[in-house]
Order: sequence, then structure tokens, then C-alpha cells
Amino acid sequence: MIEVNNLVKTFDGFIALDGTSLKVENGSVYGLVGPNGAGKSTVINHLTGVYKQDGGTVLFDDEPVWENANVKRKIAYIPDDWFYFNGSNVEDMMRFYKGIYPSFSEERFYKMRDAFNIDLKKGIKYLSKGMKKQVAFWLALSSMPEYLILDEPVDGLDPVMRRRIWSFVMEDVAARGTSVLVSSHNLRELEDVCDHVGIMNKGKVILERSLSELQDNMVKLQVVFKEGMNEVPGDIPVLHDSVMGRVHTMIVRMCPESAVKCVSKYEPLLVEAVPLTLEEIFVYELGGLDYEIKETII
Amino acid sequence: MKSKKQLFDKTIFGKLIISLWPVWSLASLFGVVMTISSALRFRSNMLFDYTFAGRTLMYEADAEYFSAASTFVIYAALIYALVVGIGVYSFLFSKRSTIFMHSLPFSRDTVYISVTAAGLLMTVVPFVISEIVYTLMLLPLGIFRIKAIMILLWAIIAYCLIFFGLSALAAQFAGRLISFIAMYGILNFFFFFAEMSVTVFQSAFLYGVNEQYGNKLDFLIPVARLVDKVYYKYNYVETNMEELKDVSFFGLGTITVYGLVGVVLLVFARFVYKYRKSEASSEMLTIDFLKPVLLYAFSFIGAIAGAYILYGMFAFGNYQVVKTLPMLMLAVICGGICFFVGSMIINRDLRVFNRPNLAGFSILAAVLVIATFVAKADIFKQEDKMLSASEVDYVTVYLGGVEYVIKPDEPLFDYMQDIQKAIIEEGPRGNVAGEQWAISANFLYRLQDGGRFTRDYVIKMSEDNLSDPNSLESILLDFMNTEPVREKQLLLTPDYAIEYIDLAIYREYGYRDINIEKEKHRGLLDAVCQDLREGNIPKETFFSDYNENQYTLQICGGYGENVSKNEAVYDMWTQLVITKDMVHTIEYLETECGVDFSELK
Repeated sequence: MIEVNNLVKTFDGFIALDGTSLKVENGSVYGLVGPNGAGKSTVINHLTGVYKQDGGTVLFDDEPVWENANVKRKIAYIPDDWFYFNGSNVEDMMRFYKGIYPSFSEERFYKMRDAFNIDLKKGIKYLSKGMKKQVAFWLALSSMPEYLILDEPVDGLDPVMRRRIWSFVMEDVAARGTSVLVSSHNLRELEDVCDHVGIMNKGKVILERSLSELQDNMVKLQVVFKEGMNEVPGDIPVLHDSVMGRVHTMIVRMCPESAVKCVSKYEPLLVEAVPLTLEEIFVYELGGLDYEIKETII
Repeated sequence: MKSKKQLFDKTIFGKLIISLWPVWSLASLFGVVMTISSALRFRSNMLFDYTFAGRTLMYEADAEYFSAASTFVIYAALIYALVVGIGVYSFLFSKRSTIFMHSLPFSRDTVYISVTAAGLLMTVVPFVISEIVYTLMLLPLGIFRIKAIMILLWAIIAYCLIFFGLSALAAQFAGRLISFIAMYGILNFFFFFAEMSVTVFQSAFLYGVNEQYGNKLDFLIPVARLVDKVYYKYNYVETNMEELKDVSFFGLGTITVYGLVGVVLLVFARFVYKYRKSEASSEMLTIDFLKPVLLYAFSFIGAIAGAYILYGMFAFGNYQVVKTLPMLMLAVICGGICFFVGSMIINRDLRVFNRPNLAGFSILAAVLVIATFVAKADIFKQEDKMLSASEVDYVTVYLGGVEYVIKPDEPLFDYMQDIQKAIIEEGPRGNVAGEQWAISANFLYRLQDGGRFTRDYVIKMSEDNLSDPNSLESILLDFMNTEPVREKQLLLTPDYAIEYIDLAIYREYGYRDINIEKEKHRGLLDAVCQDLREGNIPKETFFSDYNENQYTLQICGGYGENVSKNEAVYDMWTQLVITKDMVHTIEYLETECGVDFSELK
């Protein structure tokens, strides 16, 4: 289990992480989302033992990760911009990973060769951005990690390769109980793979729930009230309301059943609960924290 | 599973050695080519060159090894350690590579030790390969000088340790490649520039004090100290100066000390690496407290060095003592430029004219004001300083256009110091314009402890003062015209080793030189001496222009280790126009050297 407690980090007086806490259960896929500058990459750099925290703890199975080679051996990390040694080809980097990670499986590496279809002898610098990302996944998955930390992992990959890579990851989660923490702005994709989500803003995790809990806690209602009733009654906890004709589309912070029940007492002509996408949850949760979509005329 | 306390990782080590193969293999190739060329030249000299006749070949081989240890390897290691440092520590200069390396399952210690070991090996390898090749090439000639080989090997290792140690430390302070290179330069040469700037600035306010680089901080500049202290010397058989007795190597202690310092630097760099934050990569400086330290040091040195240079440019170098206010103003301007430019570079931000920086500049300006007045106040009493005879080995005096040596046991020594006191007492007489009469008076004291003490004066002369026997003009001319001084001016003192004496005979369309044979030097100089004592040599013969039908003796000699504990030998050169009155000189040249003086007569 990954446990981050009250993590604090400042850069030249700027507070990047202000008491961040999160928990990733074993065998789960945790999506870390948040606006630009929220501190996601900073959290990831702490999780991989790159940054030393100013305060708080970063634990993997109750062991700190900082300067702990034993813990770091269980972690594979794929950053947004993966590094490789100048002049190396895939095989060179494979040898390097094999020397670094005791659990590296050469057998698995060669088994996955068909899926990636990249020439082992080709210099990595000659590969496209997407192909470099494939190599990063190839090597990371061959390292048989217990923890997989991904920063914008499928950025630059084509749709087919995205599916293939996610299927590899999910296979590892199912078969080996790998825990995955993934940071991405592609919320649509996260929705498909994550079972837990943490939303970060201004250096803090403001919301951390399982995806189903998150979707249960907020609902989109489409309502047509009776004639003469133009305003939404005050006892309905509306986060956002837009009106088109007589149809109100409301985001309500309630579970779908309660929300429908709450609206039904006003005898609307139509009431329908629609589950929210992760993207909508992200937008409306942050909307309450001065991060709403503003209509700006330019 | 790997050990918990693993300190070295062969994968990182091997990866660096393999991925940086062009660096060390090209350096090795270069070294081998140089070595082969040197070995072939040595073999060729041995077989054909007459200079080896009578010498012991083995000692010449020693000298070749010692020569490499005392010159080439020092400079080569200085430059090559930087190149290797760029290669192995490059991961520290970009966020992407730093994140990669630090996310690997190793402690910082393991990364540092593995990377540094690879760097050190790559630094040493080309030199060792070159030495092996050289040794192998000499083997067929039956030459195998184990002591010389070991000395060179030890020197190689020590130089690599000290310069790679500096490279490793510089890398920990720098977050960018450009700042790494700058930091390596600073660690190697900062104290040279610091000492030179401070002494030059101080001496600008003091009459006659013309300090340049005083070598006082040499020990902090490894390359300077090593070049100075590591050398070799041929020892000849006393009865036959052509026959080599052996070749001595000096500076092994210095080499060892710097090798150990290199180890300390590598250990220190490891602590800095652990203290250094990963997020500091791509910053100019990674350690926060270094930023103000370097900024103020750079600005202060830039201020005083810039002020000195600009003052010289505006005054065309024509000044004895600088004026305080213009010098201070230039220092503040130069300091300000350095401070704000330095701030731009260190913080990578062009917006530097903010409140904290203006406050910082005010502090710098205040320090410059204090430094200027401290320099002018001469708190160490440098301007009036006179050395006692017991401190001095000898003094080289340059006065009235000729140079000669005075030793402290000569009566002339006190007289010379009286002259110097008179010059100081009179003080600077202002700038000398184009055609004005002026005399340069330079006194270079070589001290018993091997140090130097110099005083340089330019004295503006006035013919009007010659009538006053107490004027500085009269005092100086009296000194220059005393017989012992004139003898010295003509290199007539037996202490001097005469290199050569030529007689130049000028004619309408040119001149020809007659070289006076070595065994006749003393006889000729005795004759000149006799003419001098009898008053046959007019004063102006020292300063005459070349004329048709003129006979001029050109005497070149030296004064060095045969009479002094200091090693330097000074080449001195003087010329004497032969006049009809110099009867003894003419007679000697006619009878002993067959010179025809009929045209002169």
C-alpha cells in the first residue's frame, strides 16, 4: 500500500504541496487528477524517491521510499518525458534495466516484443515520441514491478496502442496485484481504468474516493418543472444549473435516488438522473474552489 | 536480492563506461599518438643526435618520463577532467535525466560512487595507456626505468584525483552544463584572479608599489602550484659538464599532497551531492548559500579589476598613483554592472532592478568605499617599506636604462636604499608627457626565503634642478656615475657569467659583428675596467645612437645560481660605444682580437 501523509514541499518559498495525503490500496488503480500546477508531478517525484519532502511521510508498505533502494526496486516509473542514455538502442536499455531491477524478466520482455514491434537494435533517439513511450512501458512492465507510477502515460500513443498498453497494465493488476498510480489529464481514459480517484488542487488532495463512490455522491438531473416554477427550490443542493427552454440541467451533490426523491416532491413534469462522467465531477468539484469554467469574451 | 548497503553498482558504472566510449577512447588515441611520436623522436635522437654523446641514455629516458609528469600531464589532466566530468555528471544538468537517475533503486551514495568511479577510471585510462605504450616502445632499446615509470604513474593518478575531484565538486554546485564549466574554472582559478585583483587595486594607490600576482594563494590553485613545484633537473659530473650523473625529480611531496586533497574533494563532493536537491537541476547554482557568495565575490573582483583596467585606459596608463575619487567611481560602476549582470545569470531573470538587488548593490558600494580607503590608507605600510640586508639575497636594479645586480654585503646596497628612500620621500612628481625627461627606477629584491619584493618608480626629471646638489636629479645622477655602479652597468663585475661579447662595427651601408672568443672575455673586460677607472669612458657612451664608423661592444651576461640561492638566471645586456680615449680597450682588441681601429683613429 502507498501511503502519503501530510506531505509538504516548498520551492524557494512557494508551497507546492501543502499537507497532501493519499492512500493507494494494493492491487488498485488510483487516478491522480487536478488542474495544472496542482502538485501532481511533485507528489509523483516524492513517490519515486526523487524529491525529499520538507514534511510528512511517503510510505510503501510502511517503509519510507526516500533513499530506500529496497522499496524503490519494487517501483517502476514512467514519466511524461522518459529518459534514455544517449546512443542507446532498446536492447541496451533492456540490459540496463535488467542490471538495475532484480525482478526484471527477460522472458517477459521478449514475449512482449510482438506487441510493440520495435526493432531492438534501433537507436532510441530515432524513434517517434509514441514509440519511445512504448519502449518505456515495455521495460517498466518487464521489470515486474509491485508498484507502477505513471505520469501522463499514454500521451502520444495511438488509440490501438493505448488499449494494448492499458490491457497489459490491467492484466498485471489482476494477475499480480500490481498497484498503479496514474496521473493524467485524460479523464475519459482514467474513468475506464481507475477504481479510485484523488483530485488535487493547490497542493492538497481535496477529494479521494472510489470512482463508484464519487459517482454516487453527485448526479446530473434533467428536470422540467411545472409551469410557473422557474426557480430551483432552495432545499436542493445544486452545484450548477443551466436552463434551456424549460429544461433544467442541474448538478446536485446527492446520491441519484435521494436527488430524484428530493426533486419529485415538487411534482416536476420530467425528472431524470444521469450519471456524471469523471470529467464532469472534476469540473464541478473544482468549480466550488474558484476553478469553474468561466465564460470569457476575447 | 542485492545487499541493503550496496555502495557500488556495476550496471551504472558499466553503462557510463560504454556510453562514453568516444570520450576515453579518443583521449587514449590522442595520448598514444603523442606518445608514439615522442618515443620515436627519442629513439631517433638516441641513434643519430650528437647531443647524446657522452650522456647516459637511461637518464635521458628518466628525463622523458619526468618531463611528462611535470608539464604535459598537468595541463592535460586539467582539461580532460572537465571533459570527463561533463560526460559522467551530465545527468545532473537536466531535470529529465536527474529524475531518471534518482528514481532508480539506489541510494544517492550508490549513484555517486558508481558514477564517480566510472569518471575517475575514464580520466586515468588514457594516461596509463600512453605510459604503457611509451614503456613498451623503449623496451626493445633495453630501457626499462621502473622508478621513473612509477613516478609518472603516481603523478598521473594524483593529477587525475585532484582535477577530477574539482570536477566532481563543481558538478554538485552546478545545475547546468554552462555553470558546471564556469564553476570548474572558478574552483581552479578563482584565487588567482582574486589575489591579483586585490593586490593590483591596492598597489594602484601606493607610489612605487607595483604588485601583480604575489603567489601567496598558489596552494589554492593546484595547476599553478604543480607547475611551479614539480620539475626535474639534470645532474652532471662535476669534472665533465657534458656527462650526465643522473636526473633528479622534484615535487613528489606536492604531487602526493594534491592527490590526497583530490580524495578529500571527492568525499566532500559526495556530501554536497547528498545535500543537493534533485529539483535544483537546470538552476545555475544548486546550493542556495553559494548564490550570494559568488555574486558578491564576482562583483567585488569585477569592480576592482574593471576599475583598474578602465582607469589605465582613460589615463593611458600614464600615472604614478591613481586619484581616489575617479578610481572609486569606476569601481562602483564596474561593481554595479557585475552585480546586476551576475544576478541576471544566477537567477536567469532579466528583471534584476528590484528592491533586494538594489539593497545588495548598496552593500557592495559601501564595501568598495571601505576597500578603497583601506587600500589608500596603506595600513600595511607597503609604500615606505625598506628591507633589511639580512632579508635580501640580491637586488636587481634597473636605473637609467641599464640593469645590474647589487648584493646586500656590498657597500652599494645601503647607497641604493638611500636612493630609494629619497625617491619615496620626494613622492610622485606627476605624469610624464611625450618628450619630457624621465627616468625609470626599478628595484627587484630577491629575498632569502625565495620571495620577491618589487618597487617601480617613474621619476620626472628637470634640468633646472641639476644645479641643486640636493635635488633628486643630482642624487640619482651621482649614484649612476659612481665607479662601482658604472662597472656593474658594463657587466664588469667578476660575479657575472658572460654569455657573449660582440663587437659591432657600423659602416655607411650596414654593420658587421665580430664575436669575441670566450677565453678573451675577462681580458677585454679588465681592459674596459681600466679605461673606466682612468676616466677614459665618457658618461654618454652608454646612451649613444648608432653612427657611421662607430665601434660598439655588446655584452650579454647573467647573474644567477652560481652566486645566489635563487634559481633564476637573469639575462642582462648592455652596450658600450668605443671612443678614441678608451686606449686600453682598443689596444686589447687590436692585439688580442685583431680588430682594425684605423678608421676610428
